[in-house]
This record gives sequence, C-alpha cells and structure tokens, in this order.
Amino acid sequence: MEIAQVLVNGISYAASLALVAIGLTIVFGVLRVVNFAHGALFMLGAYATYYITASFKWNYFLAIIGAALVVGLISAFAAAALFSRYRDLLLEGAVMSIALALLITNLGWLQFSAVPRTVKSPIDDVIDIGGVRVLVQRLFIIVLTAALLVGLQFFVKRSRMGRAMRAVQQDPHAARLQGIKVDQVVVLTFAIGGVLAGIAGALVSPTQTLQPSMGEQPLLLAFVVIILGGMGSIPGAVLASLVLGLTQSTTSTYWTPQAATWLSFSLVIAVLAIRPKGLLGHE
Amino acid sequence: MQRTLGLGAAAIAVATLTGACGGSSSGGGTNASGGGTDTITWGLIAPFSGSAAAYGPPEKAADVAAIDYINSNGGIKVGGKTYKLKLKVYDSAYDPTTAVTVTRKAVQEDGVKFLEVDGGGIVPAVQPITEPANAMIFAIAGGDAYLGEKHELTFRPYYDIPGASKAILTQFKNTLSTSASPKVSIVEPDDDLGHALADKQKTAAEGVGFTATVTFLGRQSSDYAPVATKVLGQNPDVIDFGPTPGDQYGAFIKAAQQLGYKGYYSFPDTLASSTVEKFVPLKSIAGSLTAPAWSSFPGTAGEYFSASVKKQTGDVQAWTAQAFDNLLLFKAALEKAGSLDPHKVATALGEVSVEGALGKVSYGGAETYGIPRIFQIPYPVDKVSASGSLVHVSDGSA
Repeated sequence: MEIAQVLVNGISYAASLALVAIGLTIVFGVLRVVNFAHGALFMLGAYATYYITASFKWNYFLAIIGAALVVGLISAFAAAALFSRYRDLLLEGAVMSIALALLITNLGWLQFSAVPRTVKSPIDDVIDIGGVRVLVQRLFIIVLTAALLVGLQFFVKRSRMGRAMRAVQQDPHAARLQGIKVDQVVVLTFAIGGVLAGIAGALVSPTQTLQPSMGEQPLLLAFVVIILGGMGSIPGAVLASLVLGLTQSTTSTYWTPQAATWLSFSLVIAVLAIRPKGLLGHE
Repeated sequence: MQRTLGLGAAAIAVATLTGACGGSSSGGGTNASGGGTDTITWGLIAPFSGSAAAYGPPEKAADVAAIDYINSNGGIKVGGKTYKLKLKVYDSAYDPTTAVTVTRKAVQEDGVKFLEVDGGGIVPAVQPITEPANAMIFAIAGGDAYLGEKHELTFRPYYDIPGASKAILTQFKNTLSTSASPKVSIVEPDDDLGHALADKQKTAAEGVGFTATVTFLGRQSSDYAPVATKVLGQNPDVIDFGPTPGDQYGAFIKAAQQLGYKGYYSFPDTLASSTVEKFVPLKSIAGSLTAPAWSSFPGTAGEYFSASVKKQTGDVQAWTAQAFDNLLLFKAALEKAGSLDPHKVATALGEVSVEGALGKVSYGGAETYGIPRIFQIPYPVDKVSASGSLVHVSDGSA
C-alpha cells in the first residue's frame, strides 16, 4: 500500500512542478529567454494568495484567480518594460532575469518579512482510498493542473493567438512579415507564463510554508524538467514533470530527500548524454 | 547592445543594493569593543533570512531585553569604569559562507570581540576567524564538536538536545501503554548539526529502552509527504524532531496527520506552539512532550525578560531566555575579571553564576569538555494537554 501512497505523492508533486515548468518553457520557446525570475513569480503567487485570503478575506478559490491575475500582470509588465528588448539575446536576457529575480526576492524579504506563513485551504480534508490517504487539496492540484494543461494546449494549437505564438516561436521575422504583432505576442506569452506561475504558487500555498525564498527550489527543478523534456516543448515538460515527481517521491521515501535532488540531476545528465534535445524536444 | 547591457547592469546594481539592505541589519553603532570608550559591543550573528530566518528576530529581542536590563541597572563596572552594552546585528542567512563573510566584517572591520553565534553548522565555520582574533563565541546552537580545550573562547549557552530528548523519552517510557520496546523515529535536519546529533540522540533513546531509527529532512524541503510516508512506514510510537525548525516540523506534522499518523511527538528543541498552530491545532498533538519546558520566568530578571520580549515581538519564545541569561553571566564575568581581555573573561565565566530568567545559571561541563563551557540547566518536561495547553509533568533533573 505504501507504494500507492508514494505514487500519489509523486503525481501530486509533478502536477505543481509542471505548472511552473510549462510557464518557463513557453517563455523560452517564444522569446528564447531563460527566465530566472520565474521562481520569484511563483513565490509572488503564493504570497498574493496569502494576502488576498488573510487581508481581504476572499474565498481561497477566488484568491487563486486573484493571484493569477496579479502575477500575470507583473509578468506582462516585466515583458513589456524589460524582456522584449532581449529577444534572442540568451545571455543578456538571462542576466536581466537573474537581476529581476534578486530584486523581487529581496523586496519579498523586506515586504513580507522572514516570518513563515501558511494559507488555509477550504479543501484540507483527506480521503482514504483503500488505505491510500489523499489530500483533497492535492487532488485539486492534479485536476486543475490537468485542466489548465489541456486548455493551454487547446489555446496554443487552435486559437488565433496560439498560432501566432507558435509562428513567433518558429521564426519571429517571418511572423512579423505575416502581420503578426510580435511584441504583443511576447507580452501575452509572458503573461501566460506569469499566470501559470501565480496559479502554481496559489495551489501549493496551503501545502507549504511561505517564505520569500520558496521559489528557488521549484525553479531549479523546473529547469531540470524543461531540459529533460526538451526546451520549449509543453508535452515534454509534462512528461518530465511526471518522471521527476515520481523520482522525488520514490527516492525521498525509500532513500533520502537529498538523494532525490542529485538523482534528478543525474537523470538529466544521462538523458542528455543519449538524447541532447531532451525527451520530446525538437532540433 | 550597449543600452541593453547598461539596463542589465543597472538592474543588477539595484538588486544587489536591495539585497544588501534586506540581508543584514545593524542594531548598534560602530564603536569597537574595549576601544577606550564606555561602550562594549555585543555582536549577534543569526539568521534573519534564508531557511532558518524565524530564529533571528526572537533571539535579537532577547539580546535587546538583556542589554536594556543591564544598561538600566547601572551598566557593567570593569576596573573602575562603567560600560554600557551595545548590540550590533549581522545576518548569517543560516549559511556558513554568508556567516564567514559577516563574521569577518564583525571581527576584522568592526572590531567586535564578543559574539553570539546562532547555528551548530555556523559556529565551526566562523571559529577560524574568531580564534586568531581572540574573539569570544557564545553559541546558541546544538552540537558540541566546536567545544573543548582547543576552543578556549567558545561557550555554549544552549541546552543539550540529546539530553532533552532523553528526558522526554524517559517520560514517554513511563507512560506509554506499549509493553514491548517502543519505537521512536528521530527526524533530523540534513545538515552538520543534524548529522552531529543523530547518533547521540539514537544512543540516548536506546538508553531508555526505545528502538530508534533516524531520518534526515532537508532544510529546503517544501513537500513533506514523501518523508512523512517514509517515517510512518517505521510504525513509530513517537516521532522525535531533534533540532528541526518549528515551521518545518509544523509542516511535517500536518503531512503526517494527513497520512493517518495518530501517535505522539517529541520536541527536544522546545515546542514552538505558535508556529505549529499555523499548521495544525495544538490539541491534535495532545500527549506530545516538549523539553526543556520553561513556561514561566519568575524573579526580577525573568519578569523583565518576558515583558520586554513580548513587547518587542508579541510572543515569548522560551529558548531565547538562554541568550538573555548568557548576557547576565557575561556581565558578571566581566566584573569578576576586571578586564575586557577575552581570555580573562573566559576564565571568569567558569566561576560565576547568576539568577537569570531560567533561575540559577552557570557554565560547567569540565568533566566532558576539559573546561567549563556549557550551560548547566535542568530539563523540565511539559505535555500538550487535550485542550492544547501545556502542562508540567517532570522537572527533568535526571
């Protein structure tokens, strides 16, 4: 029965990891910018949820929407004001994103303080399924993540703006010649990435301790996910999140949490040695 | 390109500047200790950011309380001169590298000779800086690898976690209905301190008749379900948290309860009730034990300590009374030594005792460490009652 519990833990962890990683990978896919500030956006999502529920007394579910909007707007502003200048400038864009991450995190220490905070969830119950105990909050994370990923995939594949995103991803100059407003696409892509990071932060906030540094570990693992899955590939990020989530859960339970981290990185090195473009990446 | 790089450089400069502002704070002036003025600087190196950031503010509050108490009662009289104490705060971020940087600043730039250092993994990292400079360390930390004759100027005004664990498990052994050897799962932080204490706690547990296993919990852990699943697989009667921070064991308890654990918990690094309550109701851990349990602070010093700390932070974290009492001992030692020379102060510290917030406190442990460098205190044990309040169950003098 313990193995079933380990699987549930792993899938739940994978779901929140996927949300962070997919936001990161679509930004890279469209802008070719490695956004090191993405973990800080995740942190802002969690704190936005805390303040919306604690200070404004909003319902937790409304707070998720609020957090998504707040972080999406911040991300869109960062894209318009900062990152749009760094399209295809991998190094400069990365440096800018590191600076932004430091800025947001340190402002977080000043504004939110070091006092650990928690968010109360209205779905804090536990369901016992044949001895496997599943937190409803974790089920909610899995279901909402799945729905968001399906919706995102539909948006990217079927909508006019989604097609524009893919066009910019493939060749921004050709896309511009076709009349696509590339700058708008860039801002929208960042906004979507921010919304996903904000939702991820909001979803995990009842299961974690909130601290301004809480985005560092998910960011690190999100990089592992997108490299393992293939840079810019949404299905690859989902698959890699699942692999990483189960690796983390299994290793933490049957070995140690620290082994889980280095084992995850070892896995990436092994996959890249055999398949440099990642599991589902394109050339 | 120049413009973009310029923007990037500007952003980094702003971020770095902001980091510097947020990463450390200063609570004192710039006078060096013993520098011919009437001020002695007390340096506090503690985490105000990072994974153990919750430790710094209450510790600072206890130091502020002690310094106000000493200064308002006439200061420190050394060699016919009266000194006032002054606090200077440095943020270690609970990271040895950062701690080394700020200690270097404290000792080499600010000339601080008397340092209170938080963290069992931090103290050994900064000793190579303090010892050549003849600066004293008062370690608010578990572990003991940094104590002994080779570290003449290092003191530990902090309780012994394996000792507290032993007091708790002795109490459990007397009350648990399990007839066979009860099981304890010891959860240790995966750092130098956790590894240093693991064997000692295991030995202490086995010494009182428990079957013990140790599991390490990463300081950066965010999802506690996998480790909780592992620990629960050991079918423990008691989960002992060692020196794990309150927000971490609070989250762990929540995960363990969600996974169906209904057993007891042991808090040998004291129960941070207000922190745990953020995760689970205290009554849900009824029957669990905590030590050393200082639930009241009688006497003039104790009343001053609790009133001052409560005024500053809204909460009294009992463990910080050790920092308070240590400063009272420090004052007594300075006056006995009649000198600011750290070596003379160190000798005097082994000879003085004071009535502090915890009662009568002194330094001892010469039989173990060769020189008296460890706080001598009892380990009273409290139990979490069915209503969530703490009730006294043992003086823990054994």
